[in-house]
Amino acid sequence: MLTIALSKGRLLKSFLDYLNKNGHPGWYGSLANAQRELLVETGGIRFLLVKGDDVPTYVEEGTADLGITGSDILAEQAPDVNELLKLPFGECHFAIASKEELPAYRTIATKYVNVTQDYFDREGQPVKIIKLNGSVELAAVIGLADAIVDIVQSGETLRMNGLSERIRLDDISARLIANKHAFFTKSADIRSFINELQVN
Amino acid sequence: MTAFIFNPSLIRQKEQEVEFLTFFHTHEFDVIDLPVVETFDWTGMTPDDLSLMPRRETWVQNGKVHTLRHDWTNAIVRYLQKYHVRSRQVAYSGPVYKNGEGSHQFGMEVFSDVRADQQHGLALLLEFIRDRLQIGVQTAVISHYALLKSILTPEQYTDPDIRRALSQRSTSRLQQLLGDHPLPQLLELQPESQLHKLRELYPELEPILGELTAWEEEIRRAGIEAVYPDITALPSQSYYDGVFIQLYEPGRTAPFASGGQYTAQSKAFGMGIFY
Repeated sequence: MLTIALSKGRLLKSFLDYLNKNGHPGWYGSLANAQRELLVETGGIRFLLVKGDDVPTYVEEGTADLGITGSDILAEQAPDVNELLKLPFGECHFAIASKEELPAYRTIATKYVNVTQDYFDREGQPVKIIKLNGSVELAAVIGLADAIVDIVQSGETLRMNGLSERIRLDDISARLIANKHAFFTKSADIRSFINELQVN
Repeated sequence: MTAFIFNPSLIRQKEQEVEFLTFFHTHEFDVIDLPVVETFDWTGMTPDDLSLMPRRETWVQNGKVHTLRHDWTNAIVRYLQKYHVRSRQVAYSGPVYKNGEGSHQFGMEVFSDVRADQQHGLALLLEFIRDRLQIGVQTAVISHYALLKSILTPEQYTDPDIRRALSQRSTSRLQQLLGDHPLPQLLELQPESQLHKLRELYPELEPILGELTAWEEEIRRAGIEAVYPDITALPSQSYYDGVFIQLYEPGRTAPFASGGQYTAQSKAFGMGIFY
């Protein structure tokens, strides 16, 4: 049996939409009907519904053979897993957003410390990074930071908080990751799951 | 205040260490020791030394960089690059320190380019694991570090983005980076079928693939049935230039023993057990 860690929330919704449109009624039905269950078994697959940040941990430790998570989390954590495939859902992008356009953004609030540091290093620009775990927009609204680095999908959350996207950074999408050991020992099951997803 | 930690398996671990050294000594391996503290000159560090530094425990004293031993084979290779040794085969045991954590390693090195000598060393190690440690190894992953160098151009082989995609076995990223190169399609096959396809596509690789098959058979002879080839493996240190083997015990996702062929003074084969 394959065990697959799935990111809850927005990415799970994108995955369900993808399953629904691409003819996987079994998986779709079981996952869509899960109320507060964190473990769903269907058709020889055990899905673990976990926080997005934790998907790489479940896969790296071998509790899950596969995981579906965003490339934003992989870019930030750089976990020791196989990043097998780019998946055709969960598209969004990183962006620098602020209340006012400034010639340079010196203080950035973000959950993505490594991604932000890498970007400013590439630009040759010094930056002070303030790590926040949620409601990042507030930091730019109340002046804790010049700007934020966050993921942007529709831009609605930014607009509702009086912020605008200033610089578009890397694209983000869902990725299929595999445990480095399971990649070999469960290769037939993993290949079969990939074929079922029809992403190639 | 000093804290004493009671570890009921400590005596057994020490006994196994002595058993290991005695076992290999009776098979004509010289037992060696090297300092646990290693010293580097700032100006004499090789790219291999530098690439390992972030994972070592280091401090600076009297203008030199001191580190705790990270890996026995690495320590032996650096010793061989500096001094001549008369031993044909050696066994060792002692602590290693990686990424802030200490563990023990015992292993053996065979300084010979003769495959039969090297495989004899592997067979003894597998015998010790099975009979003395009583670990039922179920899975082995085997690779050959000359493989990718032969099917990629030097530019592709050294490209950091391609190397990252290879280490992550990312088919979609490799398709982007390598275009219509056969490698991404090969990765879509079962690992067992990949060598067969490689033989079809690159008949000139037969010496490398034949070497891989010979080692695979040696591992199977020791009773390990699940032996998977890994065609995307990249060496962690440049001295590894041939076959590389990782052994997995049931229920563990990290290899508990690993090693392979390398070149220091001359061709050699070494493998260690981590516990």
